[in-house]
Amino acid sequence: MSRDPLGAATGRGRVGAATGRGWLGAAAGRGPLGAAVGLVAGLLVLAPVLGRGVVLSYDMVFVPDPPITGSVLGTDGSVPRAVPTELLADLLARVLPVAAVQQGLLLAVFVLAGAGAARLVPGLPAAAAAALAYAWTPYVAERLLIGHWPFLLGYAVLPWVVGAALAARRGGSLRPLLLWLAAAAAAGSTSALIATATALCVIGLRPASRFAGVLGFAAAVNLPWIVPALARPGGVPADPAGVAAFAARSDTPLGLAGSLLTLGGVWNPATVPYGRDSALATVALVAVLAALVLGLRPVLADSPGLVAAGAGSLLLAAAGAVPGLDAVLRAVVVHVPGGGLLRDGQKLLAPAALVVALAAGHAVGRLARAPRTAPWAVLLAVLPVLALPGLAWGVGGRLAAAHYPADWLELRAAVAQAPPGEVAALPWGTYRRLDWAGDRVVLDPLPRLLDRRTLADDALPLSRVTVRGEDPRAARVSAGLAAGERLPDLLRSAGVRYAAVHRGQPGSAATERALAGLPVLFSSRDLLLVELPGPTGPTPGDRPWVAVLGLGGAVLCLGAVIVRRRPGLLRSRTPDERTGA
Amino acid sequence: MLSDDRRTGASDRGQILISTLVAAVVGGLLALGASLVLVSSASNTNAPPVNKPLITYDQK
Repeated sequence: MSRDPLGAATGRGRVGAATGRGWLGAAAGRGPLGAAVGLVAGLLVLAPVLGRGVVLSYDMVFVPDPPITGSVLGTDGSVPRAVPTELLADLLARVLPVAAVQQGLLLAVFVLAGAGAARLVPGLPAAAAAALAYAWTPYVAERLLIGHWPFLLGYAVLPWVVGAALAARRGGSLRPLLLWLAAAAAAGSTSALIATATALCVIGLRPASRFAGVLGFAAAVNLPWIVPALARPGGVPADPAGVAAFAARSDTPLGLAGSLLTLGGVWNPATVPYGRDSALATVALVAVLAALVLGLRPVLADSPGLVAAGAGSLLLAAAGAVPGLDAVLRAVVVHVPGGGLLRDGQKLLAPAALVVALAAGHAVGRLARAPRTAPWAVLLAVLPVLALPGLAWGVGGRLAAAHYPADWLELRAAVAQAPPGEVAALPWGTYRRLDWAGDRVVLDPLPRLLDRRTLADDALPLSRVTVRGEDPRAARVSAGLAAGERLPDLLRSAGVRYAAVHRGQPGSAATERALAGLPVLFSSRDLLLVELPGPTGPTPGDRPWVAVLGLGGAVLCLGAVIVRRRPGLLRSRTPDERTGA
Repeated sequence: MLSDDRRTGASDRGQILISTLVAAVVGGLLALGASLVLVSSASNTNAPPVNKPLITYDQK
């Protein structure tokens, strides 16, 4: 086996290349150690919320006994952002309490991330360090706070995708790679995009049949969200204002480059963990630079494709904030189908985070091999935590768990008993502050809670600008309200039969005045449900064929890979086989 | 000439691993303490407003 000067397997001319194994295959010990490190990290982060209800934070909305609605299936014509991730979570919530499902998924992020990263580096010290470096990052903290849990599941799956891609490149079976790509697809469009692009970078263009096969399979297992997006009337329009609004921004004193390099830089300043704007950012930068200087070389030797993906993800993350590149990105987001996935570029940093984590692992492994430098290995291993203490304890106490008050479930029951008709979520606005859930900003839970098509504002209001949503009916309501039209007439013309008002929110008093005199179906301290008698406008119908085609196609492709008995069809050819040697 | 990993015996690696894990736990506890301090100081300055303003995506 050839070894590079760092003592790490280089991936060229070694046993592993012929067998598809090597340190990648002999993961015994490192995976469980990484899982344990990830578990400890996850417990440190999630301890204040475990067993205490559901966590509601910005876009993270879980509801008890979630109904399987057209939005979750992608059949109602809405943008399929939650497909199929929420469907899978909702199905789990059919057999487990929703809080257990949510907390299990969040904890799984840390365990999977730790185990996956640990398996990609040689030696136990390196494995522990890589696990901690990957599970404990500003990226995890910021995406957890903003509630992008599907991204985090994709983040956790990425090292497994990379490991399987490396094995396939060395002649191993393609099946693990395809299964992990399916897992990434289950984590939603962004996760699938990151995983597929990274996997393709790792396996390389040659042989072209393998590249095309992986790409084709990835497309097939992503049909659950691709089909609804393609079939959506009017496509998925993207407001160009969103490119600047959701561009990465500096969340440290190190500027944009330093913030991204230290794996932070989320666009939303409200979701930056405590300490990022302090001198601790310098500690993070030292940790990253030390990892790259001491440990990047073996990562580059083993997988130049992964390093390229990491560099590319850094570039894409910065693009929205770099003059010149932002115009290109805006054109892609607005004009290229699916280009909207590149908006909020910082979410694409996952491959860069993995490169840094693996480099940290190699660096720690290198330092740990010599007794004189062992203390430095320990220090480098724990630097991610020292640089970001704000991730601990519910991201500095900013994650809180709560139980839905009884009247929310009573409102749902009242809607379920009412004659058919669409519901509007009021007051007209996308976000709420729930006093029973820590008064934190959270996406209105009503559309998720109700087993009815629910019309809700889908614009994204920011301090300086409002980014338009994609629902044309919601846009008509917004325009009508701005023009001073009567709310009941406006809602009826949009096809709405019932109005559910969340009291105690900005604008709720005016909303209640506008609906005064209408038949009240339910009323509590927090909630009001009224009926809007009279004829209503047309509503778009559900299209079950979208789910049949999307979910059915994906399941068929996945099933074909799982039950395939002839391994040869799913095995990458080794270099010797390709050359006929 | 032996490579570095050959010179480092299994017992050394075990000690290094234990040191790493102990340091990780200590580091985690330190981080936890620092977080609690940060939270307690931050909670004093971020009390929810009495009159709720328009809720935007980028509010704390």
